[in-house]
Amino acid sequence: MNQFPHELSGGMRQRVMIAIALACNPKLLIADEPTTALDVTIQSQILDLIDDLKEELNMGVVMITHDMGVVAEVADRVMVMYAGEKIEEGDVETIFNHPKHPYTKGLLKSVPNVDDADHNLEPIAGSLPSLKEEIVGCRFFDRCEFATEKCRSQSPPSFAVSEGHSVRCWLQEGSHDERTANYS
Amino acid sequence: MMSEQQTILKLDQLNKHFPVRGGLLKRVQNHVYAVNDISIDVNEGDSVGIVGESGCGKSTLGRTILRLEEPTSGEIWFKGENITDLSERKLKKFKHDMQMIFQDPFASLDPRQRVGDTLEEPFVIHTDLSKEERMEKVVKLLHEVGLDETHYYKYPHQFSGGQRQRIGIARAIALNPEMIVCDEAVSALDVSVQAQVIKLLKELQDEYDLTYLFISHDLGVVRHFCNKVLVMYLGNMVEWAPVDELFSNPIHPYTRALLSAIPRPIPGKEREKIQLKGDLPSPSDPPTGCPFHTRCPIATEVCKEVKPEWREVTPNHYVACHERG
Repeated sequence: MNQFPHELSGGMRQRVMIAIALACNPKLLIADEPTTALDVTIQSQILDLIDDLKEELNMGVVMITHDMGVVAEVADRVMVMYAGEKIEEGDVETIFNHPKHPYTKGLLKSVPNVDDADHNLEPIAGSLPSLKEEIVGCRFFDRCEFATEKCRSQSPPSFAVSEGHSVRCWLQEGSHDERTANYS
Repeated sequence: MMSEQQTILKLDQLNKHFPVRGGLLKRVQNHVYAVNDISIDVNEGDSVGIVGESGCGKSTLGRTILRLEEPTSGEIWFKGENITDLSERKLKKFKHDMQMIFQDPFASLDPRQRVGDTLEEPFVIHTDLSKEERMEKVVKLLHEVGLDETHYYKYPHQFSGGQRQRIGIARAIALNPEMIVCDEAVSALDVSVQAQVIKLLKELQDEYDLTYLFISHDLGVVRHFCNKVLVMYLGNMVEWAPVDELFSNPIHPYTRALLSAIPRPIPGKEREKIQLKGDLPSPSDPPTGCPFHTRCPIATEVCKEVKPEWREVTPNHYVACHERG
């Protein structure tokens, strides 16, 4: 307790931050990339710690991360964002097993799988659009393999595909599970 | 298969210790034992993954191999020649053949230099080509890494992270090297872009018969990219095996813990997690005996006293552990 931050390791510092965050018994903990800078063995300690505290203090956790592995491990529900917009939301099984938005699908395909060496990495071509310019139409338009004229000119609203699963993509327009099955 | 391949790089008991100076007279008070007794053979065309947690000495190892750091002891053999003590002048011809790609593509490019000029530099230093020939080469390079001539006159800040890393790669392959050390080359990139860069590196390897030393903390990327893996802990070799062997049959308790700690992108999958206690010990005050004994779940008395030997457990699978194998 009498140590200065520089005397602590990265994992210890993150524990201190968690302690500060929990000092006033919050109902909600927002964790912004809490383990991104840590090594995997330490990351695994911190994730377990957050999970235990969540149960103990009965609080909600919003975990902001780019690591799909971490998402699968800790989340119940997932919101996928792209260029400032929510493009898909659903419970964790739906997002990983039945993703609907082309970006979510692409994202999952570009994560290397440790358990399967033959898993084919498929990158998403191109890069994020600049947010300094106004974007008409779908923000994923120029990287999307399913893009149509409509996607260029009109920004899609969020379509509810099933209970708790919404997708911001024209492909889902007026669709229900039978029709969208063709796209996945 | 092994006997036909040429050994391109051989490390023999390589050590790098940094002196820590302090006190009034700036005497050497201690050493940081960054790299200890590393001995491996790398064949032509290999992609060797060097993995471990931060501070385990993997970057120092990469830099020492390229002679960016002077080794404390041990030998580095490159293409059958001992380059450990070569002078700068003699080393120059080897620097053609060994290049490096860095983690942070922005920090490794000169912000005030146009990208075309940056890429031209290796040709100015190492060849006698005329200005026109050099420009031609640079444009060819840009195409090679998926950029085009319009990028020639741009500055680094006008590029995205992925594009900058492509420039870093173009710079590294400019002189047709035989070996490239990639130090966390894709770690700073988003997954979708990371996959693009990995694909590019693979294509270049097929085209130019490159050998990669791929330093990374991301075991998923290593599994995809590499054919052999060296696991390091506190500057020491822990395990060394072909990639499939290492991932399907890890022997050392540290390797096992490392593999079990990776979060898998499969929701609801229960897996056996080996939770390591505590943090990495300081490399300036390493534990006696086995460097891993302070965190090892199966450590015994022997491990505290005696450093385990480096043994070949099955063909090409080496490990340093008293208890296993």
